[in-house]
Amino acid sequence: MDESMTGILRREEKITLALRALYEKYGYRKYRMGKFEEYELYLENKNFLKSQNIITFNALDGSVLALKPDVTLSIAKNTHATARSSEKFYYLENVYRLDKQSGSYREISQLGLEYIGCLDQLASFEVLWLAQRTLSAISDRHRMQVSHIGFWISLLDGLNISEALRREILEFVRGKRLHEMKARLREAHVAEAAVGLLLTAAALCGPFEQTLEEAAKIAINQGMTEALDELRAVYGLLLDRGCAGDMTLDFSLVSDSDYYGGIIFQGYVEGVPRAVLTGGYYGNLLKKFGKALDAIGFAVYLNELNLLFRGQGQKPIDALILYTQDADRHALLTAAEEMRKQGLRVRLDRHRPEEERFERIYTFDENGLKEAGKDA
Amino acid sequence: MLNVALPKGRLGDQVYALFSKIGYECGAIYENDRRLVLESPENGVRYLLVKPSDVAIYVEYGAADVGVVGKDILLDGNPDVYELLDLGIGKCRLAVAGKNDYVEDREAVLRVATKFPNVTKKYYASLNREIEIIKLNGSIELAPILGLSDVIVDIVESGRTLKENNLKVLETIVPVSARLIANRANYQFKNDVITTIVEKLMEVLPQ
Repeated sequence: MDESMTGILRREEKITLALRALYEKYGYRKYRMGKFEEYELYLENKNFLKSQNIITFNALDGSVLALKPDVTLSIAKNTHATARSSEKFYYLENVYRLDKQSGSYREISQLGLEYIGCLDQLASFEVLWLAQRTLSAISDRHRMQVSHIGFWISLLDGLNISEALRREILEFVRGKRLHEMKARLREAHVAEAAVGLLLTAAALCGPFEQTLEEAAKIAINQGMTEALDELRAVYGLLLDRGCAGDMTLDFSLVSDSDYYGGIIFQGYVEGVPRAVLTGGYYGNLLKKFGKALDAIGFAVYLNELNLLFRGQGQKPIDALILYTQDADRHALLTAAEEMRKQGLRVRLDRHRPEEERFERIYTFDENGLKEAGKDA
Repeated sequence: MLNVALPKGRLGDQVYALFSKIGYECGAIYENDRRLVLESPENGVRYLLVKPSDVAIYVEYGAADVGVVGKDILLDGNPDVYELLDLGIGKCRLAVAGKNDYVEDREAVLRVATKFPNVTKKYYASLNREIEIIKLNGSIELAPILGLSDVIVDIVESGRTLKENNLKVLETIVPVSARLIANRANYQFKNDVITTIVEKLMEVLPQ
């Protein structure tokens, strides 16, 4: 694409294009889905959604449809992948979610990537690697936070923690509220040794290898060890490919829904106060749809990038030609077309528009084109 | 430079005292003028003086890296931030209060005046009690006196204000104290500084 065309794109649009090219290069196909989804899908799988607020409406046949609050659920439902035939694709879709602060719905633009099938560690590596490359494309100043839900599930299983307390614990862990967690566990008469283990696990956060070592010290069962082995293997591959430098292992990263089951990760870029990328393993979601498959993927919240590039605004238009009523129309149009051929953006108008900026302003009257100077 | 959101007022003074004890002094704070941003480049810290109920918002949206805020505000706003420490200062409780001679009519919908609608809703939902919330922004104690509400849900520190208005605590909902919170993204980028602050604060906090 030549410069005159890419030049009009905003930074976030350019990034979207660059990322699409990146994903295509790795053999991922673009997948386009319908705007609506049957409301029932979200009703039956509400544990997989962060928020229960969904925009619904009636179809002509009376059935209830929803504007998608989430893309992955639709993908899990519709995938044609099998154990011997995997699917790799990416999507660019809008989802509709409640914005807590304003109390109204927001349209959120998501660019996501999914790998579904019978997956191995190389698959996890590939997706994490692409997630890392995605962050790099957005900003040089980025961080990836990685964790493993299996580590927590096995630990909680091993300690025989009840379902209700489990949710509370994970909520404390997510907020790094260790002081409150300690008090709550004691109140619930959890054994001191178990309290110690849970607090240690919740505080595991830091450089990848060092944190892995510390985590290994509190692995009390096979499940925890397997989770750490998987993290070690994937990290090893990333390190080998030279893109693990800005990754931290942080076991306080736990999903706030039942969505993810294995490795999970979040990406941050400096200047955006929330994660711009979230992803992980969600095979359990596919099992819910009766598909014994693995799946791993991530989504980038393109809206958040507006925050990063705000203030860069639109460039001024190159030229404004203010013409008078008695100007020679043929000569005027020819002069403007000449300038456009040189690659300039040229606007014709009778009066100077108030809310627009121009590099140069010209007048065109019965004497022809005359430069009136640079715009103030 | 670390941006710290401090709640204006007495709690903010106490928090600043803690922070200066661990090496984050900022001389400008004693000048007592009306500036809202006070900076100490030599100590690498910038204090933002904000309304207590806004601290969590400054932190959640990343305008401040860390902040100190009462648990009451965190419970009501439920911001998506890390809550790293209980500073054990600004201790009080969130409580239900009513007139000294108040007797609850269990048959009627309870009218509750409060600044904390979300905590209030959650608390009464857990009791399966139907309520009507009257959201006020200050002088909550007036509501039961004027018959605007049956009870109030508010912060109680010494209980003096209640007493002077012929009100009493009926039920404690939750104890409250000041918490150190951090923005999730900035925690990643300023991890060293924030971790050090947490460690140093733990040393100076009364256990």
